[in-house]
Amino acid sequence: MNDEFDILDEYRATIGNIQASEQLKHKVADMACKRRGIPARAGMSWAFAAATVVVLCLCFRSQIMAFAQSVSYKCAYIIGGKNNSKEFSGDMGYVHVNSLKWDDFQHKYSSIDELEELIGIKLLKSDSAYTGAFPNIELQRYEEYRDYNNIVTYQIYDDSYYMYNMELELDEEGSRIRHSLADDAYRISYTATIHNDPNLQQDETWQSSTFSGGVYVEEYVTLGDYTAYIYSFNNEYNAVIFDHNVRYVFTADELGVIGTLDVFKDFLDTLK
Amino acid sequence: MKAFKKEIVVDREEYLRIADRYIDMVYRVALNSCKNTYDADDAVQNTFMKLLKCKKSFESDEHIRNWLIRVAVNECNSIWSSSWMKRNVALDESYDSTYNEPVFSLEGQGELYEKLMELPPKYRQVLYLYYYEELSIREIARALKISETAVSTRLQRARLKIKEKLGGQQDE
Repeated sequence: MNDEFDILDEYRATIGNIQASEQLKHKVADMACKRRGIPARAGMSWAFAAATVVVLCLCFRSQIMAFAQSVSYKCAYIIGGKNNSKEFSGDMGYVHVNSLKWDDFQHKYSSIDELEELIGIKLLKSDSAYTGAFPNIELQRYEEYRDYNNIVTYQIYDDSYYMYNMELELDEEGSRIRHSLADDAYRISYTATIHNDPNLQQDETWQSSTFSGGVYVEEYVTLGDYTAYIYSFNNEYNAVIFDHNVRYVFTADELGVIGTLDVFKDFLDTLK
Repeated sequence: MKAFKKEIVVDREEYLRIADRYIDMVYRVALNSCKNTYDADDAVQNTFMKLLKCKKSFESDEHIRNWLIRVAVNECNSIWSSSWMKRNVALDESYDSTYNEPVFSLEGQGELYEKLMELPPKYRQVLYLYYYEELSIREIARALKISETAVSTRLQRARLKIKEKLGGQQDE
């Protein structure tokens, strides 16, 4: 027992040494003066994107007008290093979403069907995945400080979209359901991003994400005829699908457990 | 007679006071929830930006503290759940992922810190909130949006894991 107290004392003493850097403290204090901060990570790419779009607008005004009318939001991915990078992109047009109340964002939903009814649009999903009894899908609204161009998007993410294939068992903690596939957990992260700002400006029409440590794998057409751009990053397979102006990202967590790309593709084939 | 509660409205001065008082706590919460100092920095900035834009008034400092913890944890979850935030890699080559690594004054603390960081974030979170911030099980459950049973279980497992790690070290 004494050992345990010693450890905890040591723990407290160690944690006490962890402090925010002076640089961070200044940034946070400065935000009160500026009243409008920009997430550090997003700054560079957005500033570059906005500047590029403005230059393009000035040079090719008529062409850009046509582009803006047909595509309201362009999302590009750049995978890999400078010499072996691969780019792909998709359109995310305006999608009308039912008006939602604050409480709707606080609530957890037990299935994607429930969310569909709430927001009034159909989402890509797998009937083979388990999303029942234990709610773990959240609906979030990003605006203002996160997307500082005031683009309003809704992001639905599910930390654990379990593939229903063999058997279900209670997680150790009793708070989640795990799915077993040949005795291994098979988990897919589900993310759907919906852009629903009808008043989008021209210089806000695209966003790019760069994954310089990623490896582009392939463009895979699923059985449901969806084009999935597959890349691996941080030892996980990711598939990006653009469908009906919504961007979906499915991530096969714990790749080592899942095993092969074919298993991931089998999941993608179940999407409809 | 009706009792009036004193409410804290977050104006500029109040914001600076809160930031000064809680930034280290928010940073530790973020570092325990995120995987690196870079994401933790982002989460801290986002959390305080939310505070700036927050229109609610708070009943007490404790209310503010719990609110900050909840928002910081949500911010970290968002960073790792959001597709482009989750896997976006900094283009800025001058970025040094170790620039904000804590400096430890006593021998062995750095090693303990490394072992702590090897624990899954869910265990680090509860350990920190319970033993350092001294939140109750109920408060942690509310902040992390998990059941009280789950908090207790995680605490128990976290204690065991840390003991195993340090025990193994002592045996060597």
